[in-house]
Amino acid sequence: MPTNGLVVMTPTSIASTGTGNSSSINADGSVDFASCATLSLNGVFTSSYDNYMVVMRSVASNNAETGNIRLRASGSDNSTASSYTRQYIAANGTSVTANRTSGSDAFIYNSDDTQRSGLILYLFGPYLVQPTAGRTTPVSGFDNAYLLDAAFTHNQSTSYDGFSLYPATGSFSGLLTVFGFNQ
Amino acid sequence: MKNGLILLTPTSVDHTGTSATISANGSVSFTAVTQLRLNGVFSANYDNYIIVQRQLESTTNAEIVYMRLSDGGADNSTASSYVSQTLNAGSTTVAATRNTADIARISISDGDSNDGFILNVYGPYLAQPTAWRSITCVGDAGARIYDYAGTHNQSTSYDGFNITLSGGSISGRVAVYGMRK
Repeated sequence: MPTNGLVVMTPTSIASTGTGNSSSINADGSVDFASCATLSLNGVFTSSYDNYMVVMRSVASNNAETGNIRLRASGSDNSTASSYTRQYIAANGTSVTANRTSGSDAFIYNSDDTQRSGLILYLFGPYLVQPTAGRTTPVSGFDNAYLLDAAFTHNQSTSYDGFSLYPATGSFSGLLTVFGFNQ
Repeated sequence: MKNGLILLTPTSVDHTGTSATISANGSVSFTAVTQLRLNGVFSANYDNYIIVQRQLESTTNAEIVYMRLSDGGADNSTASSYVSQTLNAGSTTVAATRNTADIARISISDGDSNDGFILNVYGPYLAQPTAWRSITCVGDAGARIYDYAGTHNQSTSYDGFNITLSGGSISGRVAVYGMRK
């Protein structure tokens, strides 16, 4: 019997904020969310898997909105100053730019208020008591098609069971699913 | 309903370093290795594969992670048969380079943080040239992007691959997944 390579991780709970927000866990383990200023998933990282993939489609309430992540343990985000370092490379028309910043969260994707945006986020070792690494390959609807790849690390040797996503301002709506890479 | 992505179990592994162990489901955990070969992971059942690896480098130097394709435990090291195109972003600098050698470059490891890469490999078991693409998160200076596209021009069927480093050693886990065709 072949061993399934990707396993859907059903959150043990979720939380969201924002005016008129809603969020719910579907029967298949995916999460629907609407008008969320923040969306937090708990209990999606476990000792069963080292590495994870998050797939999300979303639409933001604002144009060209940046999206951020914080890792989370037992229902609390880790916002240690300068603990997240993010490197991006962006392509917009004929322009290619890059930058690296450190802060209390990591900016890992863009979204837009007219076109749908999509995000694939890979997380390496978030449940391990070691620093965590992540990588994204999103598509943003900004200017109809905007490419921003990001790599980030979080230097705290802490075991995390979840994460929060949030736009810098406004809110976002969509659906996301967390998969564990079977090992 | 069929699973689209299948976790594959190597028939064997060999390594240079402290340890490399095949888990019950098929992934390989390794400790302080300078070389790690997975044998018998590519087969006629699948054309294309995803390799997922997280690693922690023993030094804070940014070391190149190399790969050679192998068959029956023997690496192919034909001169100039591997071409690696790199796209690198560090702070505000974006750079690219192409390297032709007897070995491929697929990632960078660095001891500043855990690193990880996703490596898609196209057709390694077919008796045709092989292609691959990696996306990475490198802990160098906090975070750096080193992405690679590569080809190997030998029309040979390979059942595995061998990972080596430009220096230091790595600890972590690697898993190979077949994409059902």
